[in-house]
Amino acid sequence: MNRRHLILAIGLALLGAGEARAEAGADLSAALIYNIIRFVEFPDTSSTLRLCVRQGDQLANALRQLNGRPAGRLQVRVVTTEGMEGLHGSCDVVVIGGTPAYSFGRPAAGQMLIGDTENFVESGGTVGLIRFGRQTRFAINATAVQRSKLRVSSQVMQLAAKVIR
Amino acid sequence: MSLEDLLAQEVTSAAKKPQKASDSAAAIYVITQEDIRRSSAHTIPDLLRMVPGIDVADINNSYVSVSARGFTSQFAANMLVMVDGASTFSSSLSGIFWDQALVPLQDIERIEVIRGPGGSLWGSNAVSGIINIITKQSVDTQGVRASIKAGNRQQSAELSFGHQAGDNLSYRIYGNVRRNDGLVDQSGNSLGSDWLGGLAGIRADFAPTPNDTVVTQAELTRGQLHEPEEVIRANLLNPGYDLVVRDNRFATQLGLLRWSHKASDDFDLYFTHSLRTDFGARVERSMGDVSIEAHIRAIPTHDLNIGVSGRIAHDLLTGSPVLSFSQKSNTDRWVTAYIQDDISLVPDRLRLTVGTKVEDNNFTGFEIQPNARLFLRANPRLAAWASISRAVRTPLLLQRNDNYQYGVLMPGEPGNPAPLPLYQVLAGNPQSKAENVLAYELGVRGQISTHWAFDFSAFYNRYDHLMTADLTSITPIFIPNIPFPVGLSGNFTTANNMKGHGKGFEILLKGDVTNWWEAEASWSYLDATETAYPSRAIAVAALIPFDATPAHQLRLRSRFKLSNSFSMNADVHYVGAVAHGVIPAHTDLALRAEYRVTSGMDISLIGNNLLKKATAEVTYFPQNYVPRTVALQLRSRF
Repeated sequence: MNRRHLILAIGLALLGAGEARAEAGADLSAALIYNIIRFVEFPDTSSTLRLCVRQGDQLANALRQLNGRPAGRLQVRVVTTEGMEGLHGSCDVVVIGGTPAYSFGRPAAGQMLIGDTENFVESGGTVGLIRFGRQTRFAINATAVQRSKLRVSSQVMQLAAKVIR
Repeated sequence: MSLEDLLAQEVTSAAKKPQKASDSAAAIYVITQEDIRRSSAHTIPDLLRMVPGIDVADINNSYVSVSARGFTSQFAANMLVMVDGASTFSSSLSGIFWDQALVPLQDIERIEVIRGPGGSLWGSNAVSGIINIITKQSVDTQGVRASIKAGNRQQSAELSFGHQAGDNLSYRIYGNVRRNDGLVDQSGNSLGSDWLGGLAGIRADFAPTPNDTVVTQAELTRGQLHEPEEVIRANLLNPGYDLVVRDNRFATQLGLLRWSHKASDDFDLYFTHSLRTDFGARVERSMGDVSIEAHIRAIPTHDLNIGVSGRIAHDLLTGSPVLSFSQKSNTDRWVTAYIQDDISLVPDRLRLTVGTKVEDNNFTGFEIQPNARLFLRANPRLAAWASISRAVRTPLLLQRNDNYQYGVLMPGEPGNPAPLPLYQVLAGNPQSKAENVLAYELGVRGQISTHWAFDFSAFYNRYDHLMTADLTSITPIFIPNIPFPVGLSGNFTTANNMKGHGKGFEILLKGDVTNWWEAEASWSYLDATETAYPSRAIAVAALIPFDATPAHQLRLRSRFKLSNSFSMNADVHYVGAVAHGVIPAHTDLALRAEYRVTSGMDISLIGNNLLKKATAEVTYFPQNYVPRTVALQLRSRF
């Protein structure tokens, strides 16, 4: 292997490592989202919990793995959409990744809006993922929870890094 | 994996690196945030009462003994206690002053408790186990959180404010204040004791890169207490005891700096300055500790963990008629190093861990504490482990450099066949050696069904050079103008003239009885004895006798989730008799009823020790009893 190939190989390896880290981060975010929604009571009386995410969202692949899993008395069904418009429909949980909460608007009754942009819950989101160093935490907007007629367990409220009202 | 597990499950105490509790080759129990929230405990020792195999005994108003597998005493110094990995071990009067462990309960992320030796990673005095109190990172405590308790005998308040100042910087300012009316007599009447203390601190977490975190912390602790104590009467013509109420106090300042790289490379530096008055004496201690740890994974099947540390402690000592010191100041130094290799024999199935800690200190010299642990993951629902380890307990400064007026036995009392009062005086011995244990352990843990899990551990410990009080001479006591002796002085010296062994087990079963009833049942058993080596001493007594620890403990903890807003917890705890039945067996009941007013506020009614007006847990003079208490708690987050 000549020097140029070696540099290229190292570059590709680093790129791969970056992707691997991003994938690991997405898996952790998806696991957090799943463990939060397991402890939420949705007013939706059907047996399915529709979790909607855009196809191109960085969490989409990781969230697809939640398809079919139980969440309380409901079963998670992951729905992927082309654009933002499709997220409004009959989704119980909407994950909008790196998009600010105000771009989506106020979540409807029975709907939980999750994202990971800065000040996500302050700008109307229900649950915001917070990055700190290599860790992922979450914040909850208690007013949005109440407005959407959701019921979040006290354990989740206690484990939130931040609760705004 | 639960949400709390996802956020914080990784256990660090068993392997000094992130590792799930279920994958630990040690008898480990983790007290979670949820356990703490649901508990009726007012203090950290009270929280530890839920742990299988741990014996918590209130001795008097300030001293609490927390032990595992024997050695119930305030002078045992067998459990290594840490806050966020920084040792709170005090090698002067006691291993730890539990009444100074004032970490606000609402700031604790989890408490990892390991029964059995941990000396190969954590060093001396982790003979019986390790308690690692891990506090929440400041990023996890944003906003204001408050807790107020008002009860018939105790009151407390905790307050904290946390803020994330940017993507990589957060901080928390926190504090608490507690007071109580102390322990009681057999009838439940106050003994004249009280306790008032508090803590204030600030912690900042900084993450300059995704792989690095820096924690800085500064903390102040203050307290004052009145402690009833039976003191030998100064007038030798009227032998006996006077009841004195001591006016004791303590103060501590802590500064800590920790840099962590990735999950397990650490540089720690901390300094504490503390003052404690006890038995009328005063100990002022300054201690600095520095350590560095790293992981090396040069070969995929080997995970090498290495570290070095140094510690220096300087004590200024002022004695009293009861407790005096042969030296007025003392400096102790420790240098340690450890190496441990996790060898993957069969990937994700079979793991062998071998390693040792070596230590050199200025009072017992060179100590070595090796261990070997084997962990088998038979299938995702069943795991087993076994270990053999050696650990040492080095003597406290008290046991090396003191003169303690221990007690007086009147003529005819057991232990004094003479017609004169026998005054017992215990002198420290600078030549005291380290006790050591060779421990054999095994454990099995697993899932019985979707809703039920079990954890079993068994042990056999062989102890050598256990600390003793050796009666070396009996001399007559004369006073001026009296031609005959008015008493006898029984002169005891601290020595290491006993060996012993202990065996037993702990078993835990936990799960969901129904969808509204969570239960956890445990049984722990200990059979331990000590015997004296042949000696020239007149008599040899164990300094920390095994009979102070109950042979059996049974616990049943239940949580009833009655509605979305209302829950109840009921903890029943049976503790066997100790001190040959002088302290009888007893059963405690603790209840907590919690009502969630809003998503950010709850109110609880808490009762402890509800079955009896007063319960003795260990012998002491005067005998102290733990009272029945009731309290109302209000918690809020905004």
